[in-house]
Amino acid sequence: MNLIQFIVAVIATMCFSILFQAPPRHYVFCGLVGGVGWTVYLIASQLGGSQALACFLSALVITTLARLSSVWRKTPSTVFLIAGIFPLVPGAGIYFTAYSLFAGDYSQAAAKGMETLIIAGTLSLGILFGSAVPQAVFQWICRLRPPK
Amino acid sequence: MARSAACDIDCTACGQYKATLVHLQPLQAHCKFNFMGGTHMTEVNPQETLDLAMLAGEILLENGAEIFRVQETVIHILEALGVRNHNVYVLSSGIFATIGDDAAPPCHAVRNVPLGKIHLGRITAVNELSREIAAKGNSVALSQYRDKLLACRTLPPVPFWLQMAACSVGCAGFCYILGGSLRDSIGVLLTGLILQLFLTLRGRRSQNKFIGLILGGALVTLSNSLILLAGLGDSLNQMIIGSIMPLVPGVALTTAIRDFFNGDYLSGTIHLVDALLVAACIAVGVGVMLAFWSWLTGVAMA
Repeated sequence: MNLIQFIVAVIATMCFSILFQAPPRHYVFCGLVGGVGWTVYLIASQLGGSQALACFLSALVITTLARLSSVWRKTPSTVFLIAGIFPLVPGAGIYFTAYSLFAGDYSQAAAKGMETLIIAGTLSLGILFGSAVPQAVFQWICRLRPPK
Repeated sequence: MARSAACDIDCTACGQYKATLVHLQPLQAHCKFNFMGGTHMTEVNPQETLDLAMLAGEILLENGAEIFRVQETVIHILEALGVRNHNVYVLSSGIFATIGDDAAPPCHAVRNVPLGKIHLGRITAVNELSREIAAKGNSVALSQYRDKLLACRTLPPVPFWLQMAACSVGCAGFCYILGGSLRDSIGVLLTGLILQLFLTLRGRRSQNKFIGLILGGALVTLSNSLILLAGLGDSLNQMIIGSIMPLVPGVALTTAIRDFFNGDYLSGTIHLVDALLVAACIAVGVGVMLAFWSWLTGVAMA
C-alpha cells in the first residue's frame, strides 16, 4: 500500500514540478524528494505519531534531501524544496477552513484553521532545522560526485 | 588622500578616484596592478551596478524565491562588483537598496514587484548567473550580464500540451493520495485538463487574480459534478480537493510561516494575507457552484 502511495506521490510531485516550471533535468529528483517525503509522513502517522510530528519529520527529510540534491545537481535547493514539500502543504486544509467559514460552520472552521496552521508551522520548523545543518556536511557527502 | 578601510596600502592611482565605495574592489586590484606596474582598471558606474543587482533580485522575487535568497543574491552581486557599503531591504512585494557612504554620492533604487507565479527555472538561471558574476566580477562588461539577466527573465514556459498533461495527472495523483478512490482520480484527469485550459486562457488576458480564482473554483466544481453525474467517480468532495490543488496556496502559507521564522515579519504577513484571500476566493467559487448544483438537482450539498 505504501509502495503505491510512494509511486503516485512521485508522479504527482513530478507533474507539479512541471507546473512550477522547474528545469526539465530536475523533474525526476523533484519527484523523488516529494515521494520520499510523503512516504515518511505516512509511515510516521502509521507508527502512531501525531500529525505535527509526522509533518516535522518529513519536512526534515525533505529539506535534507533537497539540500543533498542541490549540492549534487548544482542547483538552488528551492527547486527541490518547493516541489518536494508540495504533497504535504496544507492546501486542502486552508480550503476547508475558508469553506467552513462560508458555510457558517464556525467551530469546524476554527478546528480546520488551527490544524492548518499547526501543519504549516511544523513544516516550517522542519525546514528550519534542516536548513541549520552546515552546507559543508552536504558537500562532504557529495564529495564523490562524478564530474560533469 | 582619501583612503578606504578595505585598501590598507597607499596607492598612487587612488588619489584620482571619485567614488570610494564602488571602486573598492577595483581599487585593490588597482593597487596590486600599480605596484606590479600593471594597467588601470576600467571605471564602473555605481548606478549601473546597483541596477544590475536589483534586476537580478527582481527576477528572483517575481518568480517566487524566498526573501532571504533574494537579499543574499543582491548583496552577493554587489560585492562581486566591488560595492562594500550597501543596504538592501527586501519585502515580498518590493526591493529597496542604497549603496554609498560619506565619501561618495549614494545611489538608490526601489523596485515594485507584485506577487507572481512560481517559475523555478528562472530562479535556477539567475542563481547560475550570480555564481558567474561572483567568479568573474568586473572583468566582464555590465551590459553583458544585463543581457543574460534579461534572457533569464523571459525564459519560456514549458509547452502547453505538457502543462495540460502535468495538471491533469498531477491533480489525479493528489486526488488519490489525499484519500480519493481510483474512480475519483480517473474523473479528475479530465477536470485537470479543463482547469489548465482555463488557467492558460485566463493568463493571456490580465484580469484580477481573485476573479480568476473564484471562476476556477466554480469551474472545477461544475466539471466534477458533471463527471460524477455521468457515472465516473465516487465522492465529489475528494474529487474537488484533488482538482483544486493547482490553485490552493499551500506553498504560500508555508512560505509565510517560514518568513516569520526568518524574522521577515512584514513579508510573512503579506504572504499570509495573500494565502488567506486566495483560499477564500476558491472557497467562494466552490461553495456557490455547489449550492447552485444542489438547487438544480435537488440533492443535498456535499
